[in-house]
Amino acid sequence: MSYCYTVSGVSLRPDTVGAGHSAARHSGSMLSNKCGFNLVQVGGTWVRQAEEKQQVEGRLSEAKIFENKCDHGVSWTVVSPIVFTYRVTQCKNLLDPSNGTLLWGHLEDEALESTIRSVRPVKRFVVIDQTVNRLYGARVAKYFQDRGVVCKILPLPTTEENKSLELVTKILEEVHAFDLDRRSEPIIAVGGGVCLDVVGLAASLYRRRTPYIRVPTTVLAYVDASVGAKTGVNFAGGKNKLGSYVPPVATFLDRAFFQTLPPRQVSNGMAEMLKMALMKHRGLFELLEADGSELLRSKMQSPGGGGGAEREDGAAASTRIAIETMLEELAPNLWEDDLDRLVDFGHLISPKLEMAVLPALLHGEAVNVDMSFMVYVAHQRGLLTAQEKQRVVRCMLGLALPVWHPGCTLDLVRAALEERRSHSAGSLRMPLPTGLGCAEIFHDALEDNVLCQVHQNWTDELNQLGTNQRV
Amino acid sequence: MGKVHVRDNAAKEKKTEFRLVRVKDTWKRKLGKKVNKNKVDCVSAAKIFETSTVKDTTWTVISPITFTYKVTETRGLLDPNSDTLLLGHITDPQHLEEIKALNKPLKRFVVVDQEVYKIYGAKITEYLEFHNVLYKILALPTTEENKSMEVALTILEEVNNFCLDRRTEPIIAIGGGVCLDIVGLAASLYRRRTPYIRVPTTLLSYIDASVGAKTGVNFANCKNKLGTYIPPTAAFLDLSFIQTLPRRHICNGVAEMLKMALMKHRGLFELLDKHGRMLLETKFQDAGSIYGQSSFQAASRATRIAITTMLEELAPNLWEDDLNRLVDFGHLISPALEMKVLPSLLHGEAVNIDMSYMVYVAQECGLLSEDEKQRIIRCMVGLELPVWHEEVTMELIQKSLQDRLKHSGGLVRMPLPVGLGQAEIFNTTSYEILHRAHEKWCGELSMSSHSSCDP
Repeated sequence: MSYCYTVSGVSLRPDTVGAGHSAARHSGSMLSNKCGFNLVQVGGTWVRQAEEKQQVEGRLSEAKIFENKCDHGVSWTVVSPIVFTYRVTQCKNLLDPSNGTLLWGHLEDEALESTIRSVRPVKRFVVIDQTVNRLYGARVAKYFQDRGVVCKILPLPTTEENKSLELVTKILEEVHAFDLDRRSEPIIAVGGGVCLDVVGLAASLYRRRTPYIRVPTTVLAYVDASVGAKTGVNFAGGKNKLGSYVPPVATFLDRAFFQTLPPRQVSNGMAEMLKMALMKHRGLFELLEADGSELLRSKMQSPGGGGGAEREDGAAASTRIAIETMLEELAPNLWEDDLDRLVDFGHLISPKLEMAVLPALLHGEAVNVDMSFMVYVAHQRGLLTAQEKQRVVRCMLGLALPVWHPGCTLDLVRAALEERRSHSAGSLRMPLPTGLGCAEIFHDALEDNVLCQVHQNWTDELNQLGTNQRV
Repeated sequence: MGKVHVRDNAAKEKKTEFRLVRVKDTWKRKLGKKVNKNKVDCVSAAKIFETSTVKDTTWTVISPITFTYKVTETRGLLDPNSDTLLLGHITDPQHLEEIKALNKPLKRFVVVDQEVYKIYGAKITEYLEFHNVLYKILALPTTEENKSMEVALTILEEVNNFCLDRRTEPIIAIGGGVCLDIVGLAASLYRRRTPYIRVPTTLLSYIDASVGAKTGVNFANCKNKLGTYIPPTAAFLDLSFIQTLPRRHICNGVAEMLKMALMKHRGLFELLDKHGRMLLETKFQDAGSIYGQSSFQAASRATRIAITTMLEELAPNLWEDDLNRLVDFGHLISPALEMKVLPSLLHGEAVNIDMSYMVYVAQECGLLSEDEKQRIIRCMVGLELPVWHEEVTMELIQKSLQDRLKHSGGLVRMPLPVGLGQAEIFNTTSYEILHRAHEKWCGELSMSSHSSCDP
């Protein structure tokens, strides 16, 4: 018995220009009853209109409906694009009360004008990591106070271990009690990746979508968590098993926060910068290679106090490139429709490793161990020369990152890759560097004997260095 | 070259537009609007704008995400000969052929409302066995009172143990609106997005819950305070489930159909007005009525209009960016009412009471004639729906409208009928009018308040 289905002509990469949301009638055996409809708003009412017909006066939507009749019934296919717009702003002195960014930086000019003219008192709900609160809480409070904002500040411990739905619920209870406007009063998250992820999820769920703002205070969050759409919490022992792809309305990046970071945290973040460098930017790699130790020592602060148009210093350049390269990769694939993602480099083995040795390795450290292993894989496959491999490892050591870990056993690697395969529609999709600053994604399986060999070499060469290079 | 312009003196600013192109596995940004498509594998619809001033640099990301989903009205969904339930969500004929050729047993996780399971559990099991599916059926009570994150988590624990493929093995939800909402939320969260399928078994969910993107659970005693706007991959609508619905629940669903009729479709209103009783008597089964055997098919017609009008309103506004929504009619006061008297009013019943009051408001505003008002109320009564409730006091109304203001960006956005089957949205209805309408509404309807809704 045949049954009814429609072919809507939508490609597997729905966000790609050129892929058809076509209304074209397909000639041939089936689909003889298929119609496409535009949607036009007349007065306050939406009406559908057959595509061939002359357009009626009114607002035309980007969405379409296709109707297909057959023996057994009717099928409608709805195609509805939702445009996500968000801003990432790199600036200085974010907590200076004379800087309006934290309060208004998420608005376009026109919206800003009308908001400033409004008489209503401005309200903000701020979730701040407990540790960050001890260092910056007073300044945050003063910022809003000086600006006459009614502000509730909620300090919470946000760690990998408590990154759960319970924490999200706690935030939601407080948010609900504070009674924010649905659209114009974004929740602000100030903290590291865990804090930003958890608040992002809470905001995604509240009223099905509440605007939120990210203020990353760690290097890792700065280059990674803050720039994409992902939110999430851990669940049933799995990292980020629950979450959403709803981006913030804005992310505000201020490197000044790094000044109070322990050196280990600075290295942690630089691992993600190195990831982008290895995948797509030779210039960034060379910068990290040459200046890594200095960047680490200075905690990514620019030398001197001058503003103006002088030549960009290493710290400013490296963070800028890291952001730009990350945005390039995330913007076209915001909801991961395409499972081939260069940014997954360092993230095939590390999720399992990180959870297995929690809390021994920070996220970036686990990522680096993964990348280190993968660089050995790349060399074994002839994609990197021995010299390139050495350079990468030396660079990692220069950034005080672990290049090996006893918890990263062959069994763990095997299990992680197996999970990767099942999680990525049957293919390994392994990003590997094919030179310094360029990469490709490999789909074929890694034979077990090759895997063993690589793991052996990697262990033999690096296990001495693995855990005692931290200053 | 990219678009570069200098703004006014206050902030010297450079603005550049970038397209995003992919070569092999790497995305690169390219200046400007023109891209040589021959040199790249793919051009994204997403864009990045970069604006630099002396003080800061801002990148604005614009990224469209297209949601595609199917709503299929069909028969015999649980008939072993049909494979709609398992494969009906697949749009690509080639992909479908591949799956069929593969001959591998399919894997499915099915969440069924407990009451639905008592009636259809055997049939569902038989269907899955017949198709050689590796399945897990989770039967759960899904009620307004337990519509919570806890239940969503229970589902998630089971789903997590079952090891579904990330993309190709959708979770199936079979039940009424509450069931579909909770499973939808769980699926939205799992791996940040897991495909799911809705099979509504009540008339209300058939018309309403199944057709849009909303998922959700209650929180802090408020209806649907937490949720997402992630549509299912597909919704399969089979009227035969309605046969086992109690009369009260059928009326409940008709309320949402009436809502669409009053807002946008005179024809549907007249159909419900004229044939409402018969539709209730035959439980929306065309085959069982003389009307079905002729070509009239009232039930199919009615549901089809309800669905298409609903889709028209939802598709262009899937994430409610526009807060002016005709489908909010009947939903300004009913949320508070429903939660207050839980569980004595079903959702559709509360909606109808709201609509009934709003019809009085519309008449008071001069948007409806007295005749039209009476006709609508008579129709509602004929459909055995409650048209009044003592808990709808002016206080409740005012509180609801205040909440509405807060929830809708400072405007009340009140949909009101401006004729039979036509509506507009109003923002400045005065307290006096609301009060007068309330007095008349109580005066005329409280005596004859429909009381056949036994709990």
